[in-house]
Amino acid sequence: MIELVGLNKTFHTAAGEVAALKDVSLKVDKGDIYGVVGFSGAGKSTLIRCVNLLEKPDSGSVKIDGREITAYGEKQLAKEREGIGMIFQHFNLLRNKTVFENVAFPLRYARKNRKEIEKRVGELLELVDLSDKTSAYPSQLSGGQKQRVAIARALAMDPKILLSDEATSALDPQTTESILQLLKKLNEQLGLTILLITHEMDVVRRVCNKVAVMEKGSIVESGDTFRLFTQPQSDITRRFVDSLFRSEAVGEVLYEPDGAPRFQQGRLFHLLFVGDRATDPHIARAIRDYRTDISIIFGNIEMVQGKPIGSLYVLIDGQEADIDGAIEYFRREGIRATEIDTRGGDDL
Amino acid sequence: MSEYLSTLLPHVITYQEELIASIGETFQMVLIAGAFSVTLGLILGTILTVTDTGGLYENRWVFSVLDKIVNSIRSMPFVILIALLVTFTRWLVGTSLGIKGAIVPMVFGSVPFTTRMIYQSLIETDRGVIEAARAMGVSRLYIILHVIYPESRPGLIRALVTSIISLIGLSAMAGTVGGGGLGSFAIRYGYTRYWQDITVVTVIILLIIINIIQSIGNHLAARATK
Ligand SMILES: Nc1ncnc2c1ncn2[C@@H]1O[C@H](COP(=O)(O)OP(=O)(O)OP(=O)(O)O)[C@@H](O)[C@H]1O
Ligand SMILES: [Mg+2]
Repeated sequence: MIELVGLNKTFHTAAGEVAALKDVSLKVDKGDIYGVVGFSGAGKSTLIRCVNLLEKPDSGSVKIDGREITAYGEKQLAKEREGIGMIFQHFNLLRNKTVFENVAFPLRYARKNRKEIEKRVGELLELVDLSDKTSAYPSQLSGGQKQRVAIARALAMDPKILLSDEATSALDPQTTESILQLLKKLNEQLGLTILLITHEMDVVRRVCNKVAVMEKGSIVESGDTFRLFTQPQSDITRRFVDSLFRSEAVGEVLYEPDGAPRFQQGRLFHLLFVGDRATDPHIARAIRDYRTDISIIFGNIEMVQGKPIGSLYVLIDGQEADIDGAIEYFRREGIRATEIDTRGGDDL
Repeated sequence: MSEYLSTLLPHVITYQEELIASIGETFQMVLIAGAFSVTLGLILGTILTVTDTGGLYENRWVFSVLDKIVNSIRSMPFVILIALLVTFTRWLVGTSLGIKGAIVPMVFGSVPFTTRMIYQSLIETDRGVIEAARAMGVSRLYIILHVIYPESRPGLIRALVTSIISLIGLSAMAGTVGGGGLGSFAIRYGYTRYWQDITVVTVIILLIIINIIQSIGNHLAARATK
């Protein structure tokens, strides 16, 4: 559906050269909700803007449904863009136009007649659950409602692909959830292929079946979401995955308000249990077979693509060799165990 | 009442017909020059906007040349502009005097100013909205007409009003050097014959006109802001 091969893009600024994309390749299949995560400045927006050529890559190929579009002229490109909807972090609605007129905008451009426009806008507003706001202006809407209008507008020409650049980043958690549900519904009901950019792992976890992790202009890792969550290969992916299980509570349990560690003994580990592993009595065995004391500091379970991933922060005390043995045992059992340095008090 | 008025404003009463005719002339000058100036200002302001860095037709060369021309004419004192344009004005409209003769320099005096203001309101258009339209495959011309202009409506209205008001000022100045309208009326009677009442009444009339236009403009701009 979308195939990017060897994209490069360098910006020449007064401050110097910025390599925003370095040999980036990405393949999105029909029906995917493909997530791209990365920290600020990683090149995510540049990447997604290359898909509809809002940004022209310096080199590389952009294929939509097998058509190489980088060589297209303005007219052809405009036609191609009709089949690719796009939504943005700041909604980008026409301020001086009503909800109806905003959604009608691409239809008017396509010279549809009045009847058709009224019918289509009606359907679209129904789809995004905003039928009661037809004649409101954007300034009278909440962030979530604005994004719904933007989604309706992006779908007006019946695109097969939707690009979403941080579409939920300006929204609160509940509104984010409702927009994500909407995207998922569109994906399932309309068969819409979605490429979405985010810096929140939580968004990926909720809706994406595939994900790519970007760092400094390159994709460091990509693939099936569940696999990436459970078997991250690179440091940055691990950091993103951990961000999901991180909790304020852990810090509060471990440290005094003045920052001094509460526990002088033992080593702190973060354990990730995947799927059926979660039900085996691993902790009990580790205590028994390796003569260690294990106290559970904090635990939670997150669903990734409908499958559970359990997270436990545990403090293990005992002989060094026994602790190492217990960890070995966890790892053999497919549990991801990462030690956290409590003395340094570094980022949890 | 009328007796009281004729002692207070003797010359105004005597020349009231000429005064009313001058008001009409001022309106004529301002409206004709305004129509030209706003049209040209909109065209030039649009060119500046789209050729500016990051614009739809980015072109540094066109932008900086136009920008320099606009700025240099703008910084020229109006009286000097009138003098400079005398020959051109005569060639274009046949005379450098009267209403006709005043309109040409008025247009020249006001276009750079209007262009600047229109450019400033158009360039404020949210880049994201333009980008969203680009992403939909909308043509650049359509974006100018259906995104940039409508999004800038309040700013454009304010630019229009300010431009008209500045033209009233220019019309008065053009009046002093042979144009028509309230300016020349005030000079002829108020200044050269030192009939103070004429000057005062002319000023009051100008203030009233300017205030009315300004309030209408503010009202329209506020209504256009959604
Ligand atoms: N038009 C531009 N001109 C110059 N530099 C740019 C331009 N667009 C992006 N960059 C630079 O390219 C790099 C990648 O930017 P990009 O916007 O793609 O990052 P991002 O991953 O989307 O970040 P964020 O999460 O902050 O949106 C950054 O260093 C940015 O400063
Ligand atoms: Mg970005």
